[in-house]
Amino acid sequence: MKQAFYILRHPIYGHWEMKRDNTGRYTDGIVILVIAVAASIFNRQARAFVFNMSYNVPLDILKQAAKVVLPVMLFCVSNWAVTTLYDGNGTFKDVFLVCCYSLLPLIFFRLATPILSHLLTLNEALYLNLIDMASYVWTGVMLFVGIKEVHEYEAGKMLLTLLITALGAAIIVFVFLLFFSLLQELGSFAYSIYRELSLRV
Amino acid sequence: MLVALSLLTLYLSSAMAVDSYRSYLYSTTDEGTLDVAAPQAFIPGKVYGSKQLGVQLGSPEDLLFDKEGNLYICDAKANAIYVFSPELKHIRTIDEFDNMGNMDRFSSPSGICLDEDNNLYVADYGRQRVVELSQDARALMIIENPQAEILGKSFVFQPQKVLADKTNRIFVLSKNTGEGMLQFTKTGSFLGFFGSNTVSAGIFDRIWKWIMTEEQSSKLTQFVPVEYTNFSLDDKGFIYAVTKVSDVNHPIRRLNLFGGDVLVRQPIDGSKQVVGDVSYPYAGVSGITGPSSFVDIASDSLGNYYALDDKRGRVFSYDEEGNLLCVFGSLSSGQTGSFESPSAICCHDGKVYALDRSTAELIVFEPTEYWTTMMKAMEAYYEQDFEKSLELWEKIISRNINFDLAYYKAGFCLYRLGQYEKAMEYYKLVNAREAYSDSSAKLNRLNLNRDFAYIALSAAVCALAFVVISVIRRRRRGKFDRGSV
Repeated sequence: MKQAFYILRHPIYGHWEMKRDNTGRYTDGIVILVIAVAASIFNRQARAFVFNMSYNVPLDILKQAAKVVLPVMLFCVSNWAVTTLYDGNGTFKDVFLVCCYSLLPLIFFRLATPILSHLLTLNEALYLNLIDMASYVWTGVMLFVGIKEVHEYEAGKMLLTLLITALGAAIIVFVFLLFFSLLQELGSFAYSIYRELSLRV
Repeated sequence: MLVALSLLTLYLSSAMAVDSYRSYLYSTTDEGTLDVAAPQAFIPGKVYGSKQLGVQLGSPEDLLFDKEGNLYICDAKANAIYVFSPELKHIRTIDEFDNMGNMDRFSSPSGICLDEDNNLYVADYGRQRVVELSQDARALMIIENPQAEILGKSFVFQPQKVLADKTNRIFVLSKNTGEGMLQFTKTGSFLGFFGSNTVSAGIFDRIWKWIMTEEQSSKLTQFVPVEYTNFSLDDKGFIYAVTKVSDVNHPIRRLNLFGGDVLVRQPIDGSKQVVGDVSYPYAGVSGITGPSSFVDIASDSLGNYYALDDKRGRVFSYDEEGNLLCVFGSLSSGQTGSFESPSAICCHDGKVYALDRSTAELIVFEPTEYWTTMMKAMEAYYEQDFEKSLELWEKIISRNINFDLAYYKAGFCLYRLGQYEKAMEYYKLVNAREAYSDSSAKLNRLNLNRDFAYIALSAAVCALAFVVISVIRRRRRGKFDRGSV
């Protein structure tokens, strides 16, 4: 975990060191991911009424967890698949850890904004949005730098693989949707056969 | 909560004399806009048929009250205008008038109005003219067959409703005229159209126009037609107008001197709509589908207005900001106090008078205690007596726990009285984020003022501690340096 905070302050060297010494551990990443889920739930529940559009909507923890975990997993799988083809030096573990580490700024801001939201009024919503924006930008920069370091890419190739990663993520989502809808069709088909048989025999 | 609600309605219905129709309001919830039960605001108190009025009503089309409280009813079938005393006793009948020395009669008059000098205007639909009569039934002026280039050659003057405003202009609604109202001077010369729909060309329209040839673009519709069904003047001299066409976005309008729509559509639910029924069947067995279709509108002294929907026989009452206050009236045949084919509505002395052309009856809707409480609360609100208003609004909340507006208004009273925390509580209940934020800003400032001494003191203590610690550190380092040397 100490490494995570070191990387937060020195993203380029930190990521390179992690790769060189192979010091990353899956447990670190999973712990950060769990904290990220907790932070996003905290952000949803503790935000002041004025800035909270889901104030009256009951909390669904699984849905909230999926909102954090699914994008991370989608990016990891897609990026790993793409970079393996494009001579990337990072393993799946590296990509996963980079993703998790880059969530750290997001976590901190998600913990801070609810407290701030109780002090601000609707006229000052701009500041809250600005802080949210800043957290996304920081996370984005961390992710970019980290992925670049673990795969040992130049900036141009990095951008190209990121583009293809996005495309890959879209394809994965499409295939999953197709798969599940087909599965559903198959299920209903099997059920109707069963009904037909049970009614006739 | 549901049980409590139904108990409440049960209690209310047993307390009231007549409960002939469902009273409801709309409330914005997590599941969208729902219609919720509300206490009765108006109940049909008295129904005046031909027997009670003392005249045989045929097809009453319009009604009005003069300054003395006399009631005028315009009957299209009897070709006459009946006048009744404030006690609704028949005084006289205007069925013929002195037209330049000859006696003349009406044919299917369908609209009447009075001007400042108590002259009566009659829209004589059958004879295609508007007649101005003095009180002794002499024709002062007649508008017939107006000529203007803008009207076109095929124009036929078929006046249905007439209105004279305080600036000596005469407005006429003519049948099958899509450009708005016809506007005349006091002497009867045509001024132009009034209250037409304005068309603003969007970016796509412009691109289309750029692509199209001259011939094609000339075939484009130049305006969106609007046919007003009825109108009335409010206390401030604005014209309230309603249209029957169901796909119009703004079926209720308030027109200023220049014909622009200035109706405030800012209900607290954020819908920006003043359209009568919000949820309705699009298709159904009953045959009554689609949005409300308005035939008349009237306003009271507090700035509330009442729009009459002839599709479902309901009257919708709104306040100045476009918040729905109550819905009353029903459509059914045979039941006393319900409409068959409502034609006109008028407000007088806190009561709502409505005419039905099919049953030929005058229905007087009398306010219930719930409504009078609400009116008193509004009056106190306008007079800035927030304590009294708050008390009354809270009384209304206890009668109707689903009434969003009551919470909002009570919240505003609390806000003005400086009880911000309680105001925030009310605002939160009705999801009024902006108002809530205003209250919380005030509360924050108050708290800051109260606690400023402590905050400043603790900041000063922190600063002092910081200085002391840094001085001590420097001294220690100095000692250490000296020791090492």
